[in-house]
Amino acid sequence: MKLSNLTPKQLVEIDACTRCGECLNYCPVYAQKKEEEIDPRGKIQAFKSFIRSQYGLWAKIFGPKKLDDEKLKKFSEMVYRCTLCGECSVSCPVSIDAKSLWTALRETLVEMGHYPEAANRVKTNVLQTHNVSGDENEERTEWLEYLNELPDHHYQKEKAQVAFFVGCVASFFPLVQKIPLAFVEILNRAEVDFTLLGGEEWCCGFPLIGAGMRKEAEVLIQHNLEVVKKRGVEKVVFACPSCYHTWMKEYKTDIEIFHSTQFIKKLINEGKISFKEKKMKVTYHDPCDLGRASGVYEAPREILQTIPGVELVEMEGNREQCKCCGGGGNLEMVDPDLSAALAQAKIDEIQATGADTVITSCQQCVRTILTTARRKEIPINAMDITEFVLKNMK
Amino acid sequence: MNIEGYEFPEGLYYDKNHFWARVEGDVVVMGMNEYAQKMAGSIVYVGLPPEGKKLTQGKNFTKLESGKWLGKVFAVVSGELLAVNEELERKAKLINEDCYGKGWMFKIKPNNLDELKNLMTDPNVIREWLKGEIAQHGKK
Repeated sequence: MKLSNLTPKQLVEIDACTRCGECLNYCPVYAQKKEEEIDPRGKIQAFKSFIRSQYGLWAKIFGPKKLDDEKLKKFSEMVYRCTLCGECSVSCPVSIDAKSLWTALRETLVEMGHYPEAANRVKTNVLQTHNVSGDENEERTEWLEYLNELPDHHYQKEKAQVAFFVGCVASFFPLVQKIPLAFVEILNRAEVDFTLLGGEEWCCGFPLIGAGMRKEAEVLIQHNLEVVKKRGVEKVVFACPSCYHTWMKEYKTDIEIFHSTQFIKKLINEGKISFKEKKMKVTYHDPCDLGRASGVYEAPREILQTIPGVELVEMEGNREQCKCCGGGGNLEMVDPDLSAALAQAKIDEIQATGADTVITSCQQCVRTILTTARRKEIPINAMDITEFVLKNMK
Repeated sequence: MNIEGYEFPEGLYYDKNHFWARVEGDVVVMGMNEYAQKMAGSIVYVGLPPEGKKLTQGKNFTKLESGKWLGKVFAVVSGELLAVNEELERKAKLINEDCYGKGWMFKIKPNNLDELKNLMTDPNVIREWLKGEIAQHGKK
């Protein structure tokens, strides 16, 4: 077992875990499974024992022990049964950045060949077709056919100030194609000079990074940077929090990046968007990659509070303590039942607010909540903030 | 008729993409067959393209979702999309509950009804084809 995927800080963090168990109070997966091996403390302790068997005092004297394949397999199952929501990181009393640790552990497990088969399918799709669904990448903008009016340039200009990076899920999964449709209309009505990247947009790399295959994502990162530079783009806007966060963390560029909520807020401040009155009680769900990962909590709330008549009621867990919907970290592909259980817990929390609708800022959260609600025939309205903004624009 | 444990009603035409066609006057109604809806699991959404869309037999023209699974919908005949089943917007699960009835998907104004000859109606042909599909994809 090599430790080269872990930074010295992460190795210190592993040692610093005091086993206090505070993370058990926050981990949404532990809340469902109640298994010590699956919670952050359990995973850290398990990894610590692997390290000791390879690099501890006895290993130095007698040589490293052969790692038990069964134990590694079990450990891998625990590491991949995680939404990477990051609530363990913000709740840890000794500030262990556990979320980064989980991706580093996944990288280590990939090197050792202990990772889910589903991750290989994602890798094949992304590297061969440049999107997660495995569709022809040229079909990325097929959703445009749902627009009432389509200009000759089909929103794909050779040069533009702003690029709208749609992301794979909103491009290919029909349940959430209303999001790019709404955002395109918002940008159009606010007279923003923007372009889509069409078939030249490749997956941002997030699914590979989340699966522990960071090195494979480099080709995607370089491609996307070249494409936006070629079009003279000054700002890139994302409705997908995971694409936004991946660009923020992994893309080395001077180009300004915005999540759609930040960009809409900017347009409101510039007087380009105003709202009619809408009497409605809504709650807001913070997507993990927008909130905890990127620190964007207020822009969506400020937008909602700008709409006259809208009453925003918070869920019990909000902002840093917002519970993951179950759609993150590739969990759905590894353990769909666990993902659905997390979604059900989220739906219960939404319903407890008495709100008419839950607004969020992420296509994956919308999909996860709606999919579970539709399967179980739970009458709940969930929509992305772009749809809500468009519905209520003057 | 029951073929390999799945219902394939007589009088319909079946393509190899797992969709059925029914002629109603000069309109072709299409939907998903029972084997495919069972394999797909609980369907949560169907893309309902704008009416008037031009379709080509055997070419995909929209998608449907059941959780992480994403399926393509292929036109059973060439023509123009005349109507979509609006009920599916609210309850796509109708495809699971009644795939040959309330779960119908699209109505098409066909260019040429002769294209129906490219589809299957003979139970023996359907059975042989379905056996191959089950061998490849399993059954639920």
